[in-house]
Amino acid sequence: MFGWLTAILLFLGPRHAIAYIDPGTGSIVFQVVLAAVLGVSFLLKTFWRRIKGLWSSPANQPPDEEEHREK
Amino acid sequence: MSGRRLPGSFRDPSGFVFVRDNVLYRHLSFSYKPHYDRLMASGLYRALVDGERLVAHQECAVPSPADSACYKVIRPEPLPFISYPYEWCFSQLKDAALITLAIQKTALEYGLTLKDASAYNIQFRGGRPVLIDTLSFETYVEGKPWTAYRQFCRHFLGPLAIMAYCDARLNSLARFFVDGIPLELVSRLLPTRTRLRAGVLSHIHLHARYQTKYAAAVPHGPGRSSRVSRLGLAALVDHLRSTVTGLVWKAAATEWGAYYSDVNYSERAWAHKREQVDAFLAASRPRTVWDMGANDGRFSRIASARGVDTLSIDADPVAVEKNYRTCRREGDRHLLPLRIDLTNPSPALGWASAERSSLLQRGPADTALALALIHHLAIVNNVPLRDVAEFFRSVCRFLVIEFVPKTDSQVQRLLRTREDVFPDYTKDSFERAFGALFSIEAAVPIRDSERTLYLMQTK
Repeated sequence: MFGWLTAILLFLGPRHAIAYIDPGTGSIVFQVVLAAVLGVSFLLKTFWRRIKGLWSSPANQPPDEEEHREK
Repeated sequence: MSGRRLPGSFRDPSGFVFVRDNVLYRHLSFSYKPHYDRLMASGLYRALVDGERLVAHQECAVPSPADSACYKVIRPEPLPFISYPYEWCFSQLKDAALITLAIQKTALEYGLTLKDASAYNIQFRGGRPVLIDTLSFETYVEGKPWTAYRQFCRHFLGPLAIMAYCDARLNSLARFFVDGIPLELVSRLLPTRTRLRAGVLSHIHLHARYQTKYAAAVPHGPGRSSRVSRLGLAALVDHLRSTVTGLVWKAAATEWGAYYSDVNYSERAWAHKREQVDAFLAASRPRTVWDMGANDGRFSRIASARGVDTLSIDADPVAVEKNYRTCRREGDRHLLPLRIDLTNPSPALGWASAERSSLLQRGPADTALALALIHHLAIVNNVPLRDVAEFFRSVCRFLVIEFVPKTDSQVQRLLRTREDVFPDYTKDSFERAFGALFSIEAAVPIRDSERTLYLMQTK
């Protein structure tokens, strides 16, 4: 689900060439767009887990490996 | 005596590798000081070394060949053998990719980041992947994109995807592209259905499209807006991890089965051959063994079980994959399976043909095993016995080699589809050809078979 959200948003990303020379530029621009989209889905995923956590007893909760310390 | 700079480490301005009195050192430039100090003081170095994810090093007082700009000289723990990604099987490359991402995740937690993600910075030590480049870390700057993202995709994700979806042998493409396989090539090779997988779609297909699009010359660069939040960076690394984890080489599962099942050995012959190989290893007392044409590595394990660092070389990706999975399952710390075709072994590659060493430059081994191999080289590949002997002389000091005569059913099978133009393929000619370059220490007929096992030493 989050993957598809990513794909759809990426297609909505910048579509015009604005930069120069090496393929590294496209890679950085792409990363900026992708990381923004993935960041949102990452947050939603973490948030959704917490919500689910409220309804299940602590013993049944899966270990939250994805826990991220955001400052 | 002055040190000798090694040709594989010239790209990084942070430092280089040199050898002095046969010991390998790393020169750290002054420009790298803040990053190195942070790596050591933050606790990241200790965490990674304790977790066996980074090679340990010692700071030492040895002078660098470039004294003026030297901040420190460190001596990394030595590795038994340097292998290259184009010699790895699918699961080896996958494990190397996952350890790189795990290191990046941990580094971010300590306020550092990987500035490169080259597959050549990973080596196998004790059966597990480990980062060998201590200079790969830099201080994380809030908002800065991951500069190694593109390199990670070219070195790991692209090759893994074409191995999983096209053909596992295509990892050899990495031989032609010294800085990883270009993503637009990977994108063109992958079947259309991979566009339905979000990870491959984004990190390869769309990534390649952006690269092509922005390759055209236009006035200004990505500039001020090129920010990636800390959360975005963590999400990117996590998404790469799940994409890599999701890549599975399915062919391996179906072709697994009947290795060795069609080989004409009785139980008694197998047992005798194993016993004899073990005895010859005991007699030659090697510190390194190369098992050439190792298949799934069952004879290599006789050497590794003796605590000898052993290479297990075969051209068949399924055999090497099976071998690596067995090593991983059994926790074998001395065996390294590699996919190398002995009829076309890894050449020297890169800038001035000196960045990556050929297979032979990385030898010789103390002892080589060549079991059930000679008929493949002499009959399938038409190599004269004299040339086979020359090759093995350059590879090892002791040779444990099995001669398989023409009357053997395996050789008969090979001859069924080709004209017998090998009148010299006899035990006598074999002994003459090898006897010219090796002294034959022992020759033992394998019970219940027509084969003979030799122990030879180079003259």
